[in-house]
Amino acid sequence: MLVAILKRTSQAVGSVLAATILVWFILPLAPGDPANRIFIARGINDATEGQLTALREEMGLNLPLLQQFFHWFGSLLHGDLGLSFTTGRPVLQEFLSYLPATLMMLGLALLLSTLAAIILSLVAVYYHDQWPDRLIKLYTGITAAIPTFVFALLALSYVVVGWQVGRVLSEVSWVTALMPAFIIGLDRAGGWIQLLRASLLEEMASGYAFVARSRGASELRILLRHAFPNSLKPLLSAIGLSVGALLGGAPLIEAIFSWPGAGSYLLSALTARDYPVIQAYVLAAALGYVLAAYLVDIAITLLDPRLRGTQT
Amino acid sequence: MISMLLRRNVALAPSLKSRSARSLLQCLWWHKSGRSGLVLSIIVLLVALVGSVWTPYDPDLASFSTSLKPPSADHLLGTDEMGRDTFSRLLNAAHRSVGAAFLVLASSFGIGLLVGIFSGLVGGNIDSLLMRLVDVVMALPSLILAFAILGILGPGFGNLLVALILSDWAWYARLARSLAIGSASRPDILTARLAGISRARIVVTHLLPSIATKLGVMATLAFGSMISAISGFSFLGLGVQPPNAEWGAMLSQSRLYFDFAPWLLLSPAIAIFLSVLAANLLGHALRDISEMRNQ
Repeated sequence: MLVAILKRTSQAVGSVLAATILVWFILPLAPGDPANRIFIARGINDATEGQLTALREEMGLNLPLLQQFFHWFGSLLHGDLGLSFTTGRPVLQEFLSYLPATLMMLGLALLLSTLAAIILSLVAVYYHDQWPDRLIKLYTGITAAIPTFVFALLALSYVVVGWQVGRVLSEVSWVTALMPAFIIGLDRAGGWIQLLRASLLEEMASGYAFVARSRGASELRILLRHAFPNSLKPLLSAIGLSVGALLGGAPLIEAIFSWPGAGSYLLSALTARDYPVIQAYVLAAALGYVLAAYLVDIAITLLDPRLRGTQT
Repeated sequence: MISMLLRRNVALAPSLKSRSARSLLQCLWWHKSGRSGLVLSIIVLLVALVGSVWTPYDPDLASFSTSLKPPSADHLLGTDEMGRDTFSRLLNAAHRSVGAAFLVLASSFGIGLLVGIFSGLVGGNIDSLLMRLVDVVMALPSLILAFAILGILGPGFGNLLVALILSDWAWYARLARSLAIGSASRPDILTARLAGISRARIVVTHLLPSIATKLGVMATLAFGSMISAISGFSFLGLGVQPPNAEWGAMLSQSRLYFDFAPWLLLSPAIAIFLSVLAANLLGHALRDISEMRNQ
């Protein structure tokens, strides 16, 4: 098992390195002269040749590309992501000030949707083909056909604001994060219920469930003690994958809820063409994505007795 | 003798194929959700086609005397804040939203199919080089990669499509490659090779159709997330630019008027819902049918 974990770790490190190289390419691939772009981002449209050369000298833009990469990568390892083109302040510091808001909302959403998915799919399987199951099926079918941002927009406009069940506050706290997290969680849970319901039903029809039934165990006991632990694997993988989708959807979600998080920071950087900020967000998202997939794989290895026992 | 028999079987293949094509439609028609998915998909495609050439009113013509009118006989879905007919804009937007999703999926499907099969068949250094490239692309969640590419190219509809294709193809390539490698030992392909049929012909007549079917099911099921991505980026102003109509862009313009002009917000939302629903129903039916056929 240790070998499997080590193998998976080296794979995760490889993915992060690949993402880092990809992120670096944003800068040299962006159109126009980089020094000129920095001046334009700062609102100076007619920089003189002297100013441009001085800036190139200062930022190492006159060096060969490979050298620039190692220079950039070296400072990245020291936690230096460069200076924002627009504000001139260190990007990492600015990014970290926006990050907690995003993590709060997405973390809560992940937690709420996991809980909802587990409870609702257990209910659906217990009442298989009865009205609670049908109702839950309708709910998953509808959420599968509505993009998260459209669902969020409609829920915000017609339920939260329309019925005055809450208020949109851009002040960041666990309480204000609850409403957007609940709405996103409600939408995301749909797909997981479909997944978990299908694998629970499969487990309930399997041989060991039959044996348990024949020795008189109740359906509820079989469901909770036998089928549920065995069905966690696909749910865990889906949760790991959805971290990437959540991080990718964060700018959109934050725009809808006017939530001042890292996603909104990315959006303002996109319009201002503030490349170091874009790099920071993409890099952080890649880290989060790889880390989530890695943790899920490790958890699956630890949970599965067959994998736990093997020495290889 | 054996090879003659085999050749005859191969020659029979076209007639078998046309029969299976007919029965695919029949299977869809008799599948529980396949029929509604098929009908709804055809309607959505027809609406998109019609909307690209004809709309009741000029979708971009502003007239401030008729702004924010509720639905009526003149304007089926009312008018927006600039007095433009919502129904016409919805129709006109369909070919951008649906057509773009179709284009992106078809391109990623095509690129992925070619790269994956090529990589799987050639093997060796070229294969590992191509797969490293796929690994690099897949190291980032696809939406994040699309954001990064849009950051480089700048906002715009064409750029959005390029960004989505570049971040999407790798998934198809990886699947196609593993299917191509996996099917090297398939009985029908081994038989065809024994019969002395050329490699190119085996690829075109045996490998390509089976892999394309599996990838096609995946692409159909991905339609929803593609529509969601296109309308989402347009909602943020990074995709379709005004005055052009697109469902996501319409949502973003009309969210201010949700209170007293709900038709503005609800009609694009319902349009998105119906087209994604159509693709989901069709995709699930296709997946069921292809799984049944494999058994």
